Amino acid sequence: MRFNSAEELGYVIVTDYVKANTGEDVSDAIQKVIDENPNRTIFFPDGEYILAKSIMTPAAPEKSVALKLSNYAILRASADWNSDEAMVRLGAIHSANDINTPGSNYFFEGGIIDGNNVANGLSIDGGRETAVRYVSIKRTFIGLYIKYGVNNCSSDCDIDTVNIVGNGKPGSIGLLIDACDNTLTNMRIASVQIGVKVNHASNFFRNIHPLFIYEPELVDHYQESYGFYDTSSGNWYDMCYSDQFATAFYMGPRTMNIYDICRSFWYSPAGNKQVGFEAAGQFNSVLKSCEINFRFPKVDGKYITVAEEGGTGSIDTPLVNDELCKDDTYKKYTKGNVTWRPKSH
Amino acid sequence: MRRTSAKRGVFLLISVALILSFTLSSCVIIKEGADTAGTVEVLRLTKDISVGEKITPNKFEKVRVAEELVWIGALSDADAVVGKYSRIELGVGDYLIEGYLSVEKVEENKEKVDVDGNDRGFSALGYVVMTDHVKANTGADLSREIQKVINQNPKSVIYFPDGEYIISSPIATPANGDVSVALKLSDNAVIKASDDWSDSEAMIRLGGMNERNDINVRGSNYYLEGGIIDGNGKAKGISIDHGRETSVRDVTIVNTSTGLLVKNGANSGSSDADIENIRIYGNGALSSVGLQIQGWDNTFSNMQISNVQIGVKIETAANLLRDIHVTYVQSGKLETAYRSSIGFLDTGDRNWYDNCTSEGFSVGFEIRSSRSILSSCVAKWYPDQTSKQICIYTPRAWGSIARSCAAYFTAPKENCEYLVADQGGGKGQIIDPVFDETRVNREDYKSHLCGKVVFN
Repeated sequence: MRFNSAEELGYVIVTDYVKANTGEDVSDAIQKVIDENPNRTIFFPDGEYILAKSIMTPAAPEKSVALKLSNYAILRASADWNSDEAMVRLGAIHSANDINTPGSNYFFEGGIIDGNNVANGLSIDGGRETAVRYVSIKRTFIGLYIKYGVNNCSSDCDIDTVNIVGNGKPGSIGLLIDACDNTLTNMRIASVQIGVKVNHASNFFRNIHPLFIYEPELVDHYQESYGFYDTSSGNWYDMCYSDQFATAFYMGPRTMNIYDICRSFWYSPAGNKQVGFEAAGQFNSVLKSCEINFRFPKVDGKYITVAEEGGTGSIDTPLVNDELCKDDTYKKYTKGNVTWRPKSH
Repeated sequence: MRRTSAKRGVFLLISVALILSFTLSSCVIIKEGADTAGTVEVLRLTKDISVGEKITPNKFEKVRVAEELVWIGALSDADAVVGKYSRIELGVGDYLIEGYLSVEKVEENKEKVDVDGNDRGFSALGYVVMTDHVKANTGADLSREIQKVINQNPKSVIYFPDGEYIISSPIATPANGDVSVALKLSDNAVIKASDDWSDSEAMIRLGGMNERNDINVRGSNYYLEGGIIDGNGKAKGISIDHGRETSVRDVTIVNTSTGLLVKNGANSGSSDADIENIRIYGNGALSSVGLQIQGWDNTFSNMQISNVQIGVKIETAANLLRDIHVTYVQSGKLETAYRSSIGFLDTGDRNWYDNCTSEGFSVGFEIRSSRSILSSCVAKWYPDQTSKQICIYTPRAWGSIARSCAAYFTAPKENCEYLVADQGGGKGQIIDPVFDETRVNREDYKSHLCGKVVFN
């Protein structure tokens, strides 16, 4: 079947109302398209759309919209962007906490959000069960931010295959979560100081891969870089992979999480700090088959550090080269055998 | 490419603010020194433009150039935009190479145009529709024409409507985000290898040209989505040659020697590709492979692979495979072929397998190196299979972790093993395995056992 008209697809085509590639701010025009087309899929063709302020979508099911971007549709922050809010704020207007009404499930899909090194990319401000997928986020201070959820902290979002490249500045974060009950799958994050920062519970992370890059403004902040920084409790990490952050997985004083088949890897000894897990209080989480891959004999590598002795945590079947691990703390919590490559391999 | 002289000309990629009398279409690339007597119109600068000077359409003229064109490079869109102030020096004789001119005026029909006067239809979604440029279902070789569409439409989604497109040589997409494309195929769009296919490369080579390793570039994330890739019994289907974070999803690959190949990656071996919802049906040859992985840091989810000798072959490290189901097709195969069949062959290191199933292969999981983790994986066989059945094999000492992995044997006891490790020792573990201990002979698993063997 060949689609011969946009009408057949039912999309509202943004370029019927807004001119792309002008270099001018089109945020008001785009907001008008959103406001005037409730319960529609709004499609952005390839091209660049400059935003000088946030565009916001409704949370209320009767007014909601889905935003669908072609792969090369770029929402770019203007050079004079000066808001702390994200460029795209899903569920930010017409608040609602309603999963019963048709229209409560909407999405942001595709395209490129370019923070132009000054803006935050995308936030989920309200609504329930929002989906964000197949998005490329570039040059942001905070790539994706899920705010405190409308349903007693629950946002219930599903984030899938989102790639974030931060602006490489101190304090930058790839994924920031202040809500509960979200699932995040298949994300690659780079050029940030903190890959994932989580401040609430019951979130599920699967295959999240943050990568630390020695950007000029981050080099001096390597020691305070974190792959996953979790101040909360009851979060699950499944096959998550911290790549080159000084501390791979930070656990706050009250954290009780599950880390299953997670890994940390360093490609460079620069910075001389390589910590797999850091417990800011006692260690009360479960680590199952987690690999901390030390490769540089001169680096001060540690599988786990704990601020307070004791704790009920366990480290089941860790994978670590204990010849290169400079601290035996992990052994106090280890159950089962330690696995590593035999020298014959 | 910078301007060298007015006579040579410079070939620029410039965004066009359209006039209603023109129809913006695909990109035109001009070969330096080409004979300009041809059938395609382009715009050529008639006045010099200084840095900071506004670029306006009245500074161009229409000229006709050769239609046979070769891509030679482009500047970034940020350098020179019609309607804005140029950031570079432009000179008389420089060519506009984005867009060429149609002689047909369409401005009268407001229903059919958008604010720029673009024709409505699928192109209003910003897609380049392949059948606007090539004719499907002819049986003729379209590889050259398809490649031309790709070359001429940087940073576009190229859509293939339903139909069959025959190719006799690989088509390649750029790895460079500045000129990349996304390929989007309708469910019944079939790209098929010609009967005389002889190339050793894959039919579709993502990132197969314009190499670049840069995730900062807008456009570095591109995909191949949808449709059917038919290797016609001889070709490889898809390869990821270069680039970063390439996505391949919702694709059916049939009749291939190798269904999907992820080559050694652009970033010191890392490809960072994300592959999901793929169905591969191989050509059943002794050399056939479903998924072959030569790069690092890739993820593979929801794949069904069948009619191959090796389901998944991994040659590197740090890959994640989740919900991969490989199936051996016994019909028409010799016993010798079966005995060398492998569901998952891992010669790399530190790969993760979650809920992966080998069905009908003689060896379910051959893990040649160490530190890989198999979690909730299964090796099972058909009721009529009676010869060698090994759940996990390693030619070395067992140095990986298998957690809650199950084996369901159907052969006589003398042919069944849960773990075969050719060398003793090793720091690997077998945690809570699921199988009938009375059905196996070797006790290799016992020296690595944590917990209990579970079976009903």
